[in-house]
Amino acid sequence: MATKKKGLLKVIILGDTGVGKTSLMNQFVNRKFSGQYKATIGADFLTKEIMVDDRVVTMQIWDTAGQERFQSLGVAFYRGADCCVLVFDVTLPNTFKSLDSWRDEFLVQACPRDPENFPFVVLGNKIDLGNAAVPSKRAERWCQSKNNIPYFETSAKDATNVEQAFQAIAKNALAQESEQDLYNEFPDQIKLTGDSNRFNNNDAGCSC
Amino acid sequence: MWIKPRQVPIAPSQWNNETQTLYFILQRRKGLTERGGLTSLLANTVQSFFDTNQPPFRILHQTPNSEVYYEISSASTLDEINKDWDWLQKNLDCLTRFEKNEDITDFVVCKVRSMIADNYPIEILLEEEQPKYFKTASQKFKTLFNMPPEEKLVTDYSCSYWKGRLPRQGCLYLSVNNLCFYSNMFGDTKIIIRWTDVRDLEEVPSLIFPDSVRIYTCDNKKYFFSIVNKREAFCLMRQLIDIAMKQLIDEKIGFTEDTDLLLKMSKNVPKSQSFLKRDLDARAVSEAYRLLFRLPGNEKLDGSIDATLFTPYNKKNVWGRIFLSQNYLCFDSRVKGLVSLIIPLRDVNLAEKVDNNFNPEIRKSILISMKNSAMPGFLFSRIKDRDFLISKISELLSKIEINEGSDNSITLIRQSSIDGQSDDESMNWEIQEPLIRLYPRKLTSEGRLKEVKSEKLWERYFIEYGRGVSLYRTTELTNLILKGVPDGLRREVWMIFSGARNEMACNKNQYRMFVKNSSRIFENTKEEIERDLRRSLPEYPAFQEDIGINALRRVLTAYAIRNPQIGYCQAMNIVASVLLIYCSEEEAFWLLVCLCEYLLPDYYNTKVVGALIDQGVMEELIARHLPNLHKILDCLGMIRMISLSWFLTIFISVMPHFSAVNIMDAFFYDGAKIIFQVALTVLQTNQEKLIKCQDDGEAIQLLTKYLQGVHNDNDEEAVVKDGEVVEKTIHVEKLLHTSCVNYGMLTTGLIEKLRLKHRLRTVQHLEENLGKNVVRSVINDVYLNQEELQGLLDFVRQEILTIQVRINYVNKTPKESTSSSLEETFEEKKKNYTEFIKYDPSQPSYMSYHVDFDLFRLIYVKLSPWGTASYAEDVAARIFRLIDTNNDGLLNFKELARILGIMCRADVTEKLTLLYIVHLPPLLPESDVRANTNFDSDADMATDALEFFRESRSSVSTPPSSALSTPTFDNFISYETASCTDAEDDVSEVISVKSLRSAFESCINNFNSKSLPKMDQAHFSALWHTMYNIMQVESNPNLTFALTRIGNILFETGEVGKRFMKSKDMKSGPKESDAAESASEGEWCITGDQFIANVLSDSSLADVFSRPVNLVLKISTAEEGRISSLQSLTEAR
Repeated sequence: MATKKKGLLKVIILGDTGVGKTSLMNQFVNRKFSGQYKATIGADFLTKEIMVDDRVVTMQIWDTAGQERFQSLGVAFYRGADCCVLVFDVTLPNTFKSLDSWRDEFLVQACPRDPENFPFVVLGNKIDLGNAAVPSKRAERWCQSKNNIPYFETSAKDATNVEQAFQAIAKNALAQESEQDLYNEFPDQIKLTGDSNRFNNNDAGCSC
Repeated sequence: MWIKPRQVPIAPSQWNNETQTLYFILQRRKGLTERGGLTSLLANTVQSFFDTNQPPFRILHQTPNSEVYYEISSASTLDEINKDWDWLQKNLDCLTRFEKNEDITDFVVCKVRSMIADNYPIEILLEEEQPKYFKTASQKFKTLFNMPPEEKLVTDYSCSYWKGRLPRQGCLYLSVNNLCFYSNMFGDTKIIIRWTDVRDLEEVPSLIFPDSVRIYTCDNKKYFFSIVNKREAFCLMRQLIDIAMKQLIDEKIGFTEDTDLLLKMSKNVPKSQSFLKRDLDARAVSEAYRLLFRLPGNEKLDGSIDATLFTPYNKKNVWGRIFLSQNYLCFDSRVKGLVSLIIPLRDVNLAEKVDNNFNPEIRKSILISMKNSAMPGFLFSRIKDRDFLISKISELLSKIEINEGSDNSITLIRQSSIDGQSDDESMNWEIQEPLIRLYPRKLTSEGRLKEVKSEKLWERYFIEYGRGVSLYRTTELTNLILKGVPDGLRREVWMIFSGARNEMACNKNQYRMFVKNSSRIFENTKEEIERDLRRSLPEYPAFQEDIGINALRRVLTAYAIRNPQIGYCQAMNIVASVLLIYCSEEEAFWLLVCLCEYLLPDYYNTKVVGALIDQGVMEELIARHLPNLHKILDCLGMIRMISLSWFLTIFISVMPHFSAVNIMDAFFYDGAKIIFQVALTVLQTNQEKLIKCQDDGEAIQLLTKYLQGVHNDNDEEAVVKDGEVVEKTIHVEKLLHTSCVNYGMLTTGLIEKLRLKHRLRTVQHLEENLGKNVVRSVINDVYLNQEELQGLLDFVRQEILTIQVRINYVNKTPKESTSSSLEETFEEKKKNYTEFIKYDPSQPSYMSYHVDFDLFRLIYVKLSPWGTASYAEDVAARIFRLIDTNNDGLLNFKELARILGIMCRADVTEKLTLLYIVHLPPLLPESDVRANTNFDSDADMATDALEFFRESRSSVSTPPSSALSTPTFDNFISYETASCTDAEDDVSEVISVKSLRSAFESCINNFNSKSLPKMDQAHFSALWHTMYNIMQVESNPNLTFALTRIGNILFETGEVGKRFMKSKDMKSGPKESDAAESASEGEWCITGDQFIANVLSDSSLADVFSRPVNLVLKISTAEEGRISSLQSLTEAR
């Protein structure tokens, strides 16, 4: 793994093809939406500096290819990730169903130190379309079952919740980082219990 | 029967002429009376055919005044030979019309060959072709290693195997699927390595053992061989491994010999080698040939010959070599790149001999004239074997005409049949012309000038060197390409140099057909395409409107239909949309075909293997040419990801597309090597900056920015990304030029060689990962641990591979020779294995492996603790049916691992529950139980227990015990189909199999054996019989005793149940609705609980069931069994 600069967060965006990964990234970084993105081949990449708790951090956001046949190529991108964003399209239930496999795949390939507590964030995108087929309740239930993953319903088009979501992503990634620093001092220690509910405290939850 | 014409010395002493015409003689061997017993002769036919013994009758062909005789037919009976004779008389009366005697001979020879090809099964011809020594070697190979008949030996080498420090002298056998070694020095040594298990292969540059080859296998073993004929052996091994790997990539089933080769008029090929070896050599040569001239994948090189070509543009004769294959005549100059030619035979009008006595340069010449006048003709001279070449060309020409005729009629018929059923949507469309005509490029005035200038240059080239596929391809052309093709000519240039024009010409109307059939596309492929249509090249106006989108949809859909193996892969949309800008829709389709199938092989398949392989190649090239950068990139961990999109989209997705098309020009002209060259140049140019990068992100950003700035200065509008004008970095022409200058040493041949090497690594790596994923995906749901699962998976994989070989063999064998039922079974299997083994990433990974019943039966017998009991297969069949939830005759790996886990590892209760359930109806149908009750003949020990059941037996008529047949796949399936197709009665049966399944699940998950249906007496007796069989294996008399005792108790319990049920019946009436229960009402019955509790009450019985099974040991024993008889275990039974 590359040695990391202080204040650099590596965020991976995963999800089925066409759910709006590139759009979300661009909305967050450039505050623009365009209907004219090419399908992502391999991976794309943008950075943005943000303030989290009075601290400047650079977010390095990796946008990946969504088609299943590219899933196995992810390995190279996943290494050293600080947070993983899972995106689905609220109008297409299948894209929600595949979150499980995206999450599993990520955990296996990225091999984070503490898979149980690795920070994920789930985004249900395209709420602007208004014909949501995955109810918030259902998504929230799934998130809760996976160790309380924060869930946001977003629209990359209208910029709804995008800023908030990425703020939460940054926070969670940072929280994880500080923990990891802890681990690094005691490299043999593997599990730190009693902290699994931390998302509940600082998570604004979804607002829709 | 007809035989391959061969020259024979005329030895009149041995033969008598029977009949004679001008050209043919029918002869009978001397010493054979006419009354020679017919039957004995018949009996000898087969034998004598394979022996060198001549059959007693033959027909010779001869022309007047010629000393040479050709034997064309031989037979062991007069009737048989007369049949051939009559045919000759009837069909070859045209011979007198030929002018020259040689032509007559050629004609006869050709005719006889075609008769052979049409009438005799390949196997016989093959057998005839093999040299004698090889037959012995092949025989030895099969007996030594217990190889099944379908495993074909390619060749053998004398070789020593280094085990420790001692070389063992022996023989190395290379066959289609295995490498085998045998030596009997210091005791027998036998080694068998499957090609699919090889991880790496290398030549060892050692001074002491200069002829060594080292092989690494997947289980991390090393083998070291010294082979006398190392170079050849090594190449052959590499080729065989490559075939195995391609098989793994494609999941196409197996390797088929090219039988066309048999019929080839081969003149110079030495016959001392096995047919297969020759076939493989021919393949290697053909592949190189196709690569050199970018020809379609089915072109087979027929031969090549030195000649000079007259090049009219400079009035010189250039030395080079002529290559000839079914559909093309090609020429390549001896001086590399000087000039080359590709002449499609379909365009050839005539090939004739020309001699000019005054010009020594033009001697022994052939003039090839073309049908259209664009190219006047080609003059080849100083051809040593001119007559042979010309006869060969005419032979091929005559075949082409036939092919073209038939092709058209077929497509017409197909079309008319399809017209009827096509829907309106796909009817209303017209082939879209190049989009650039509708949306012209906005060029700067300078750019426009440049275009015009470039167009003029090209036109001049066409005038001087010809136009169309068969233009003279010279160094000057290469320069023109590098400078960029003008927009107006791009279409033509791409089509010619990519080979797409050839594909399109050979498959007229195919594109329309695919579009008409577009409704046959898989639903999810359709969705994937639909989702990406507007995400292909959105910056180009045509792709913001229906006109471009619809054309793109048709092209992608048509391709998915043409090649379902690839279907649709992201990146194809981007490439296709650029193709549509410059070419018509149909042309774009064929360019896409060439790109996906020849230029970027395996790139877009379900695992993107081709692209991964090229990433490996790229890494090696970086290490070789930019070692410093390699170190840095390796540290950043990004070597394998930077260039993926460059390769997958030929730079279109990373560069402005108006610049990227220049790279495409070179790509279609020169093949994939150009991508490597450009990629290396890009890295080299940015080397300094890249080395300073802190992390992977920074490096990627740097490269992205650089590539986006590649420009061509012709466009009016600047490239804009995210609202900002992108800074220009380098002119694309300069980039291309630098690439060719700096990395010109990367030839197509070198790239192919590296691809071969990395294909092996990549495929093995993928297989390994897939295996790990499969294990991981099931490990939480089954009782087996990782080691056991891995072992089981390897076992299943090996068996499936073997079965594939087997299926392949059966497919090829002529229909008459196999019994039809066997064939159907294999048809069935083939279907199963081709349809289901396909890797589908949308499914959980355990879905990648399926076992059918035959394989399950084998696994049950070999691996389950109850497998050795008699009648184990009956039980296996019922277990299979219980867990095959979707009734498709296949279990996925998870289901398999789960049930095996239950049998080996689960709690006693669960094991007993399983046994109990598989003895309930409808899994164990009534009819079977009736048959089953008559089994005292085979199990003496069982008789004790059976005394209790005499009563029931006397009441039931006992059908003959033969009814209890071993379940084969066939009748097993027929169970299923019957239960699916028949009326209500059977529907209820299916439902109750379902209810058994749910009962089983609830028992396993909740230990709730209450939900188990009750069992009647007949079924109980069958169950108890199975128990006896299982215990019998233990050979412990106490167990038998215990069984008898418990059986007694259970029987009495059943009696009690009967009384109880009766009284209950009187009190409350039929309350229970459960089918099984109401059937057994008032009858003898026991419950699952009673069964389990009673069996457990005896500690010795409980011990047997609670004893853990060492599955790993069982697997390794089974595997050893396979090595000693390498046939698939399924077949060995």
